[in-house]
Amino acid sequence: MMSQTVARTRANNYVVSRTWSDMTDEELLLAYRRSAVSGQDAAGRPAFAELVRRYERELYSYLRRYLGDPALAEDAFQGTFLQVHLKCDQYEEGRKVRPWLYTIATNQAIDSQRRNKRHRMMSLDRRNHQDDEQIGTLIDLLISDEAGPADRMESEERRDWIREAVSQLPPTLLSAVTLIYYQGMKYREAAEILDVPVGTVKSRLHAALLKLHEAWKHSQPSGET
Amino acid sequence: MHDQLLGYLLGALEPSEQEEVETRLLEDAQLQDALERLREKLALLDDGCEGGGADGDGYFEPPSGLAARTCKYVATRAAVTPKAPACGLSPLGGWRVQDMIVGGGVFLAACMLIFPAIAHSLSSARITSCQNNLRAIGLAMGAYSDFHGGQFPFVPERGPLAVAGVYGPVLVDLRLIEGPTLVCPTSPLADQGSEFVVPHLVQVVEASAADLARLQSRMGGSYGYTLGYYVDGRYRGHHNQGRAQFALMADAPGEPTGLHSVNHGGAGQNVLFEDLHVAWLKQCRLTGCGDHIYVNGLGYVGAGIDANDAVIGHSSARPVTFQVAPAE
Repeated sequence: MMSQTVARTRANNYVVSRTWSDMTDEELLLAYRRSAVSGQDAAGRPAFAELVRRYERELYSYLRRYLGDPALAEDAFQGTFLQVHLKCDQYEEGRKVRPWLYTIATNQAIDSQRRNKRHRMMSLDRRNHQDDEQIGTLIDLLISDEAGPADRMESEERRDWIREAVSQLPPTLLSAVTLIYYQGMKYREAAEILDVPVGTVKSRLHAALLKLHEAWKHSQPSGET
Repeated sequence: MHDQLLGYLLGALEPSEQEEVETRLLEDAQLQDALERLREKLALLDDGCEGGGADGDGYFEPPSGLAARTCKYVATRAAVTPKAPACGLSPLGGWRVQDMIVGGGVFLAACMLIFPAIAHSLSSARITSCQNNLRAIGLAMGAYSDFHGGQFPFVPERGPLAVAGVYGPVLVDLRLIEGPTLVCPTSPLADQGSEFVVPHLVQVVEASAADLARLQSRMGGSYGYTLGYYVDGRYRGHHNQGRAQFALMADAPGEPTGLHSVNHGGAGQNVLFEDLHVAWLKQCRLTGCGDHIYVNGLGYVGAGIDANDAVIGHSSARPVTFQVAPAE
């Protein structure tokens, strides 16, 4: 329905060249904002619906991985687009919509974690003496000759473990690893979403991987690492 | 360089950095070895999510109908949630009983003082409600012209669609506006009680002679739309120039040949100008140029006599009349 086009007719002498699905994210949001600001939300609903549909899979996946729970992810997804409605007048024209949406979604996920108090960092915080200055050791650890986790754990078991472990990372590290590894973003894009310097994103990604690596080692029976 | 290996593997580097790593990899066998070991170790992060699809893009499949539920959720919440972000205390947060009593007293006193203004506000609210619809239509008109080289919906010179009301089916078919928005809440059309439905363009084109007149008289709703104009003997549609004094739409005249609107009891009419601002005019003539918005420069309901002659036609008003025959 969104991509409906109306063919040229000789009688009415007009042709439809673009539809909602042809518009960029930025055009959709601006169209919706114009209607919302004038108090006529209904007029912009098709644009809003197109935006939701366009990001349904990508943002839900991000939130699902961030929160580790389908129900919380759905709530956060809906909360994200409610915030889009409420804050569309704060969107800066000329800025890309995608990082703006991710920023809102990340804040929704953090709020969700706080509300549900399910974010435990016990296992990942067990050894908390590492800090960002020691990130360099991560690479040494990872490229050592030690056998990798995939070599010793059953595939399903490992996948369950990593999903749980990732969702229990501290929020700052979780967002970095989710955006860059799972969502496939560049350091620069993640930095824009998280509103931090690129160097900080790199540090957070390294720290996240280091914590996961340590947590994995601690999850193994003694002597197997 | 080891620090960059991780970003390289994840595709997180900028193109220039990516090239730099690749250059170093060609020259450095140890770096290649480190890269391979790092690649194997990164398998730790593979959570096996293939998105449930064949593309293996690592996305989780969203639950069925998530987008539709989200739109419904936002529409529901939008109706009850204020635009301003809620923060701090709840509406009654931090209020003691004494505060509420004092506050209530102040509120009552204020009500008594402003009561006469309330009656006036109710009248204004009805006009404002009608204006809001007109603004929404204006936004749709703006969007239409954005995607059609600056042209507004065209009222053809002849044929079943050659009436001012054609703008309604055009905007609704494109989903730029919803049908009920075309009805001013205080207009006679709103009082008729029956549900207002905008026909599709194809329905109008294929309508029988008996149905065509009925469709043409209603498809523009409560609002009138400007007809085209003649220049050098040729009929043309209006081009969006953002003119602040050019009336694009307005409360429709009461009859196809009426000279004022009855949407507000004859007290005046809301007018949407080409720059998309809306104003309430007690008179039908524009200040400054004195152009009557419901008739052309010759005093008839029909196409304008030049590009600046706005003629707001009732839904069934036609652009071509015998009074304004194009010069050969």
